[in-house]
Amino acid sequence: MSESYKFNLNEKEYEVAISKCHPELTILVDGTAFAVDDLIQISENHFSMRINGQLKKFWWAQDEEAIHLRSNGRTYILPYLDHISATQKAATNEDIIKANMPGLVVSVNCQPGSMVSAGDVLIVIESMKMQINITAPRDGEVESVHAETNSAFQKNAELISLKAQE
Amino acid sequence: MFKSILIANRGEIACRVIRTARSLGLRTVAVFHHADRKAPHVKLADVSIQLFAETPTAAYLDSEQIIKAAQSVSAECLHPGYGFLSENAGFAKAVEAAGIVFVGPQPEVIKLMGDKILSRAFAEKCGVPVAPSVTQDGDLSSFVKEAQKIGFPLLIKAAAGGGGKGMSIVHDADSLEGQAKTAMGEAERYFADSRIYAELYIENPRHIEVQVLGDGEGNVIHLYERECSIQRRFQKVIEESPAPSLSGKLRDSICAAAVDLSKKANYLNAGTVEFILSPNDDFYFLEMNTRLQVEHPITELVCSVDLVEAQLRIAHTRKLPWLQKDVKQSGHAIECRICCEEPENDFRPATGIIKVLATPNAEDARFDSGIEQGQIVSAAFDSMVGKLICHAENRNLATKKIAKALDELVLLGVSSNIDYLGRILRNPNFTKAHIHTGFLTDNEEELKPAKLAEDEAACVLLAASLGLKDFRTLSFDTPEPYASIGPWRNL
Repeated sequence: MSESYKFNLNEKEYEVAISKCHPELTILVDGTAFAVDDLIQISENHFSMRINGQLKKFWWAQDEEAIHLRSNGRTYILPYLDHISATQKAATNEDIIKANMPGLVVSVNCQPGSMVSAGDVLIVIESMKMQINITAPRDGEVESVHAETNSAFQKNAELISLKAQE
Repeated sequence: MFKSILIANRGEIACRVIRTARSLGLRTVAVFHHADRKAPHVKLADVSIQLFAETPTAAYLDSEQIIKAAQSVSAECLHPGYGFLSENAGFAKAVEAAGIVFVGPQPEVIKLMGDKILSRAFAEKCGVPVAPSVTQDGDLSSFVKEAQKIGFPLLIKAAAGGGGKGMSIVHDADSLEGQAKTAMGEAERYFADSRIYAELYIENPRHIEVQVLGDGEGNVIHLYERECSIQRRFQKVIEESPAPSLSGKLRDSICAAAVDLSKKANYLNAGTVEFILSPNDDFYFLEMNTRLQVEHPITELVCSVDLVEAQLRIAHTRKLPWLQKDVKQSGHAIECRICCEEPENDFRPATGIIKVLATPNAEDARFDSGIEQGQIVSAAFDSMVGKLICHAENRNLATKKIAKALDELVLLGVSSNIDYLGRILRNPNFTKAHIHTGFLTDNEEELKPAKLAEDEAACVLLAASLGLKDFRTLSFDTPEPYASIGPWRNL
């Protein structure tokens, strides 16, 4: 079977593939076979099925970033893989500090030209009435500041950029 | 009873007040900012009036617009909920001046209790114990000197504070001055009042509070206590009533102190007197909240009352609805605050769209919320979106019941603390009632999620795949001529 789906769960990559559909559906998770039977859609987002004979119920939803699951009292978020690699790339690119969520700038503690050390609080933001310190990801020099005190910003907005390292 | 009411709030508490007001036959009027135009409180109310402001929060803080809205529909009374304008004495005064009954205490009582320094002095005058403290009102160096005399650790708080803002624990003399300065700056920024005070910090204290109702004429009854010791950064997370393992004598003394204080303040309507209880059973006045509390439902379930109804009856008749002897505690109730946040990511607030919301059976659990499926959770408001509350015969059964109800509560699309709450409820220190305000920090490691076993992970991945329509199609709608009719079906 050529079709396989890749998922990220708890920062680990897994591959799910259909092994065979007959006489019973067999799905491989990282090469281990599981028999899936009795899949029932209870409501739009609510399912039940048997995995190797055991009954499992789960709630399922998806948005632009991830698949959201709830089963047996636990919630799981499985970010899409292409998205994951994109954010991982962004994380290694430590020159630009972005907002993870929308909010308001409470104070700016640096300016272009400031020399900063990893962990220094560069800017304080407020989101959902909570103050969050945005710290420098590495030592370096501040190249530009895109945030102003009391200004609002959207998710993924660039707040501060550091001068690229040689 | 009143014929109409305006609810000057949003979210779960606006929905909560509307529910009781409607059941009493009142015409309910909601106010909303554009960001909330599709919110449940707007849909639930008989009439909704839009407020205009640059930010959503500013709209709900605009007393002038809200009073005008109330006048435009001839609302007879106004319920402020909690937060926003609920403890703003000027607002309460303006509401009354506009000829509308404010469902809450007198403006001067709100003002007195809102000032942490004045209210402490008042409590002391009433004979209610307060922790040793020193106030900063001018010279920082003399404040530092006086504070050192009390000893460490010290808790620095803002005079006008609340909600943990401007609060910090100081462990030694060296850091006192620096932390005092930071606290003053924060107090100035949040409350436009830089006055702070420092009091002896009781290690591993419990937070016990007493629900009171007053008629404004010196008659006050209490509806027993609530334990709110499960806190994170001074914010309550889980509350319960009654407080576990509290001797009858101590419970009576704490309730009596709350009633004494409220009587001397001629307290009107519903209020809560908060205390700190030390490990050796000494209790100290913390503050009085002059409004309905977030955690009021546990008192409602344990005492079989509707506190919003009581508030409306008192506001209307200026008479207490019950005698003290009629108020009985029965069973045990627990409340969990459902917040959109990421417990695994230092409780960072989470935003997004609620893709799925499914609640447990109403017979098993009460879910007070201001959210529904499809709603956007934005950064504009508090991250608390609802409360799950259960009642059972005793603490053990109530804990099991609410843990099960939490398992059944489904909120997908935005990260929440639901799983974290479940882990707290199943933590042996919680079930044994070994609780104090440092519980969540002390048990931090134990409260982390258990590692996912490989077979569990496989089930999750199978579920993730089979939820995808494409994957289901591949699995069940195979076009091969030998395809049997798959087990796939829609119900």
